[in-house]
Amino acid sequence: MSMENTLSLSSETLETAMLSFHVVDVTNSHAAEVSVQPSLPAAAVTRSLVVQLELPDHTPFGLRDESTGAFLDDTKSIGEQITPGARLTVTTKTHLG
Amino acid sequence: MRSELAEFGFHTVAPGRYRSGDVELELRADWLVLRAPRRTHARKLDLGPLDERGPWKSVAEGRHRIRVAELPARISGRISADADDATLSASPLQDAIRWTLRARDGFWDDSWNCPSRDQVLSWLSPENMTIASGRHARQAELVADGSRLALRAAILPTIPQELPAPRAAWLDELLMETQAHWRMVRTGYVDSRSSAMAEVDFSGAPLSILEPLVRAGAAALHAAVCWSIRSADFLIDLQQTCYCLEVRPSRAACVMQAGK
Repeated sequence: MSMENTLSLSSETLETAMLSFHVVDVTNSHAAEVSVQPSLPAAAVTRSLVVQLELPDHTPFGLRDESTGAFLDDTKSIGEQITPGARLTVTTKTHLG
Repeated sequence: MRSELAEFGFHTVAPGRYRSGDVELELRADWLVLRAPRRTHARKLDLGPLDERGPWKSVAEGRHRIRVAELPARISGRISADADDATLSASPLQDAIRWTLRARDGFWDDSWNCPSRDQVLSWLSPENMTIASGRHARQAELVADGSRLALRAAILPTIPQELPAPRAAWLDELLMETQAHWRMVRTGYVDSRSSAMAEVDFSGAPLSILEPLVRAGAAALHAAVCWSIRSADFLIDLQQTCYCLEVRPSRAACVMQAGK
């Protein structure tokens, strides 16, 4: 048993670095420069962007990377799917047939 | 008098309230709350620091600041304020009190085995770790490095260096309010006030209570960050103009008093 109950806490152990990217909605009506924690799941980022861009919240949306045309995987962190400065589109996931 | 409290020298001072030395213990239906006076001189700002192992934090009580530790009653089943509830298992309750009192005294048990990250994460769902409120989203992180076990999340991942002093003072107030309002949660700054964080610390907690403690702590962290995040973001948004935010909280209180 020791008497040292405090630790030196370095911010290096904390995720304070942010991932910045450009986002636009599918109609090109709203755009924003966004910074998020890279460890956030893409689904959580999408939900926050739907609110920020004032899109209808009853519609399923996803994030598409303009450089590849592919939707991001909702379950994976956004930091492992895009690079800083990426251009993303918030797009409906509706299937038309 | 609950027999499991006698081991720690607690005596009854009121129904559900006990005292041992300068520590008061209150058994509520859902929470076990320990209060103790501060042992250091009060500072104007009393957040964190976010480097202390154990459950204690500082809150305001009247004009004084005291130390408080809050534990969910579910760690030992449902705690009843009625005396001698024989249906409870005494051991987890005693384990919890022993851990809390030792942490308050600054003891650290070198033999404590920190559970693995995988084990702790198995107690939580992915939804526990992602905190969303309106257009804001934060990812909580688990600190499990052998000598420290904590959940933490950024209320503000970045704070502008040019934040005016009155707004910084309002942010202090918001973080202290968050710390006082939400059980188990501490708040504070890291890296020279470049980030504002909330955390719940489980370091040294006995394994007998750890799983329900971590589950409750994750829920508390989630609620505290959701509760504070919009106000905090508003405070650091320098595009927003608001006369109230250009006046320090102490000055604003004087103005409000004078207006009564």
